[in-house]
Amino acid sequence: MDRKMSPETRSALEKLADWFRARSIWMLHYCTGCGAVELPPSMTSRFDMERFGIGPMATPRQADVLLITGYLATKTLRRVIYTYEQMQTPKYVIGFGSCTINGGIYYDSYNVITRLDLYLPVDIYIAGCMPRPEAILTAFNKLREMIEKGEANGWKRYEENKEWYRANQLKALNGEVYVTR
Amino acid sequence: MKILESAAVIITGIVFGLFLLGVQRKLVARVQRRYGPPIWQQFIDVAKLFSKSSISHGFVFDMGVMMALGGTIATLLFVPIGKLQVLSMSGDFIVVVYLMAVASLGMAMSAVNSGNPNASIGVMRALTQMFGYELPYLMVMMGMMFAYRTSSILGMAQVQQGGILNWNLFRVPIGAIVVFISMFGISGKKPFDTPIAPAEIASGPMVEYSGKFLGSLTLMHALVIFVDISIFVNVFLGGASNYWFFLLKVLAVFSLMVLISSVIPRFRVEQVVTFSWKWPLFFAVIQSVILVAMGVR
Amino acid sequence: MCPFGTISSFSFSLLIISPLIYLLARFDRRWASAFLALASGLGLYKLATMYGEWGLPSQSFEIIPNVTISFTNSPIQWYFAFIGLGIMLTIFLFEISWLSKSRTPSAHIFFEAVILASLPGFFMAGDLMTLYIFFELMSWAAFFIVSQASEKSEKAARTFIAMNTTGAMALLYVLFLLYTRFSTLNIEELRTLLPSAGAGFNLIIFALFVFSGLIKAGSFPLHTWLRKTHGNAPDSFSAVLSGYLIKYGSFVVAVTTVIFPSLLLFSNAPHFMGLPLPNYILAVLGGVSIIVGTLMAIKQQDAKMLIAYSSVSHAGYIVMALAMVSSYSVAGGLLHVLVHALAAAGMFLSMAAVKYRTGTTNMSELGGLVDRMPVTFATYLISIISTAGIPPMVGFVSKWLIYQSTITGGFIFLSFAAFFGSIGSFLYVFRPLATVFFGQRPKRLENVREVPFIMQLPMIIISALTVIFGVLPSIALKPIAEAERYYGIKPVSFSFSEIRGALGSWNSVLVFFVFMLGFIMAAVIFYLARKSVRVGLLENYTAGEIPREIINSPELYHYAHNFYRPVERLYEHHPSLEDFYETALGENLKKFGVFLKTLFYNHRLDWYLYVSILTILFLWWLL
Repeated sequence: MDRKMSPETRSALEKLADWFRARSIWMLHYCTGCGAVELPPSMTSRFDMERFGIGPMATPRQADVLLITGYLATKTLRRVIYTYEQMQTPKYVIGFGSCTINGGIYYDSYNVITRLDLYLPVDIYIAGCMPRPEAILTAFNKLREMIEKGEANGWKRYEENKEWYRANQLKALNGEVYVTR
Repeated sequence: MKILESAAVIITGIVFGLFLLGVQRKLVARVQRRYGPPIWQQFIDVAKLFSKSSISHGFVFDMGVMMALGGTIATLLFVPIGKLQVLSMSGDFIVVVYLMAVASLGMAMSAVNSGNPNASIGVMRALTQMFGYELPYLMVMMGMMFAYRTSSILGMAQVQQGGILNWNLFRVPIGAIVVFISMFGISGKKPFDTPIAPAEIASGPMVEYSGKFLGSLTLMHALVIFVDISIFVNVFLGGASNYWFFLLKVLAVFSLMVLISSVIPRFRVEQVVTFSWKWPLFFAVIQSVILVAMGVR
Repeated sequence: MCPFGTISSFSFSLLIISPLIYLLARFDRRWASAFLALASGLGLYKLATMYGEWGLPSQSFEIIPNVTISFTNSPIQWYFAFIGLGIMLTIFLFEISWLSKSRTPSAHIFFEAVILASLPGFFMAGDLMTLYIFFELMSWAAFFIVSQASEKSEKAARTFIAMNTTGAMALLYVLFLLYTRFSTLNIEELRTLLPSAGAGFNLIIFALFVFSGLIKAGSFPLHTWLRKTHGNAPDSFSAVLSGYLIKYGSFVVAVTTVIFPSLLLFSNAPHFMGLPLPNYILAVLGGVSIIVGTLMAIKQQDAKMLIAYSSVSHAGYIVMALAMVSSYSVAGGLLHVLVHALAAAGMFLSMAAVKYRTGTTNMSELGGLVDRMPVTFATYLISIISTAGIPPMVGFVSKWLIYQSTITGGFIFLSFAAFFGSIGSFLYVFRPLATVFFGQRPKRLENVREVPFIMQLPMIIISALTVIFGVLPSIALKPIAEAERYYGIKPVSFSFSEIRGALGSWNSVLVFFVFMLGFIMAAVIFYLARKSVRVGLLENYTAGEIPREIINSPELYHYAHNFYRPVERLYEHHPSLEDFYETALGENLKKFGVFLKTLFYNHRLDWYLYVSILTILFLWWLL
């Protein structure tokens, strides 16, 4: 894939903005998978994600990062794409657990997608089944670093290679995807 | 000079208001035995929001947000902040309360223009609970205005000078408690946060806001909280002659509110109205009867 | 040139040529409406030249022995007449185009000509007989107009005429009482004569006047005709009804409390908080009217009926303020007459415009009209800001003045009612805004266009006046202060930009400019940030799913039905005065009528036997 948008081309203003973006990450959970169960402990007293400025948000309009917390059936993939396209740029995607990487235990299921990266530009994967809160926090810290350095460019990748992603999505969804704009 | 003072007041409002919101997050975290975000987290959030892209649902969607922020900035100039009294000479309490309504109307209009029913439901809830908490507030203030023969916020602050016991908090205790409860509603704190119920109606009026819209409304929310607590401090806690002392009083009142609201759950929509009309209104009427019959001692 | 000659000739010549207007309307209804607009413009001009010539000897002529028709000019009368003519002017402009939707345009315009003729006659009446005659004339003309709108409106018109005739009869009875006592009906003379009469007599006069005034003003407990009549009247006529016909009642109340010096009349009556008890009771009725009007407006499903109940609430403000007869309350009450005339006309005209294009005012069938009808939306918005009493519109000024009076007087219930109506009005005025102009647009409204310019023009005029009077209320306060001076009340103190109240002063120009400054600052912050992308109404957060049903019929995704359900639930099982009048009073009256009928038209012979025996026994006992 094309990596034309390298971090060095950022203007000073963009660098500053990225500094802010790295310190305030608002999540949108897509909680159909089992990974969602690890989020409450990460957010509450024991691990307290909020100390990094990470908090849950109610709608895709407000959120910065989309959490795909586990396996995605083709039925839910459509909703995920719709939700992702409603998010405002810059936006990031985190894939939770093995299911988003290679299908996990659903690797041979007829209606579960096995590689999220084909349909949405994933910035970071968290391996594991399930990932522990420590792993989640590590991933978020990694994402923070990437944003600050200007390396979390999944949304740019998605815009540049929209046809490729769309073709993949249409293939998985039997030729029907919500087009929002 | 007036321009410099106005700028100082607006900057104070925005900076201190955002600081208060940061304090709120930190305090809630500590109540829940968490470490909590840094105290300047709100500044980062607002800066980030302004750096993001956004969508608009039309002209009214934009204008309403500007009306909301502009209305609160205008209101702020009429409130005395310690020695900083820009327009507070003509700062009539009734004018200030109704100017705040311009801001609320702007936000409500803009939210509903998004065409999202969640926003409509949120606005309906906001207006409904406003029907509840504003009445006791205004009834107490009616008694105060009658007793002091002035509706000027500055005037009410000035009559309390000379010692803590002159504060209206001790002279008009029932009214102070009622207004304190109403302030939970005005600033959308816990028992009165039905409009912004993220789990039920996807944060209500905020549902379609993104980027700079959300940033502007966060600024507005910070200002509304600052203005409301400033009115409370001026009217019931004797104002302050010192700028920093004033901010300290605001911080103290706000912290108390946050601590209370962080341990109580949310009302159902109509419970807000029934509660407000049962207890606060009852006590507000009693307080205003006392004030009208006996004046301030 | 005698100015009163012009007023009487205005009224009478319009009455005489009204059949000609009917014929003109048969020929071309637009010309008839334009002619009447011109006539009311002429009347406005005449009135403007008459400003300041108060209390000149009134010109009178006898119609039957001892009954004269006479006209006079005093500040309050001038003020009411001026507002009335102004509202009529805008309505006639509106009707040039609107009449094409009327079922009976020629009759409509004919009766409106009669109403226009009755207007200066009623408000500038020099004696109560003139007042009564023009009152009746207006009632009958309005009755015919209301009944024309649809099948449903005939019943509404009957309710209207029944209640108004009751009010008129009360007024007539007052005339008899006053004439037998003083053998004059001249208002100025009665002003000086009334204090010499006993308190009991004055109380009866006051009560009867108030009775007829409350009916006409649509104030509690006699407000029940308003909902049906305003809701079912022809759309543009609803604006006339609410904008100025119910001001007839406010005027009668003003005559009772301000022109007849009620504080002096009841100076020996028991007082409450320094206010005579009759006045206080009237003010409390006004306060109850505010509360009832507000609560009922919140639960209406039809925009026109909602505005009708808001009129009940505002009539309550006017009655309450005028009943308190203090410097601020009279100023506030009189200014509120202007406020409500403008706001109600603006709201009803914008709803008439919506109905003109969409054919309904049922709020749950509309939605998303803001892009399609921007001028109508702006008119409605400005009118509701004024209705809700938010600065910088004129509605805030009158409410501020009324608060000055309720608070300094220490009237706890009246302050409560005023605050209740003010906060409640946020609820009900927002509902049509959210459901008619915002939200998802049904597919069938996709091609709705803005109304023609000639219909926009009156709406623009009304909005502009609302803002101008809001920024510079001193323009409107000048005649009001003049009126207060004329009737011996301490005039309200104001300068070009500042109004000085009992509790503090309020600088309208300063507030307006500070608000504009804040708005500009917000706009700068807003436009410095990245430009936003415009998206359609259907691109919305729908929790990841956008069902086909919503794409095909967006109104399913429009929150409009039962908008304030949580509030409504609190007073769902309220007692209804409307039902009470209809069932308890109406049914019993009917039973009584049936009973009377059986007395005279009974064909059973034994009945006559019983009656004869009873009569003979009765006479035997008596003699």
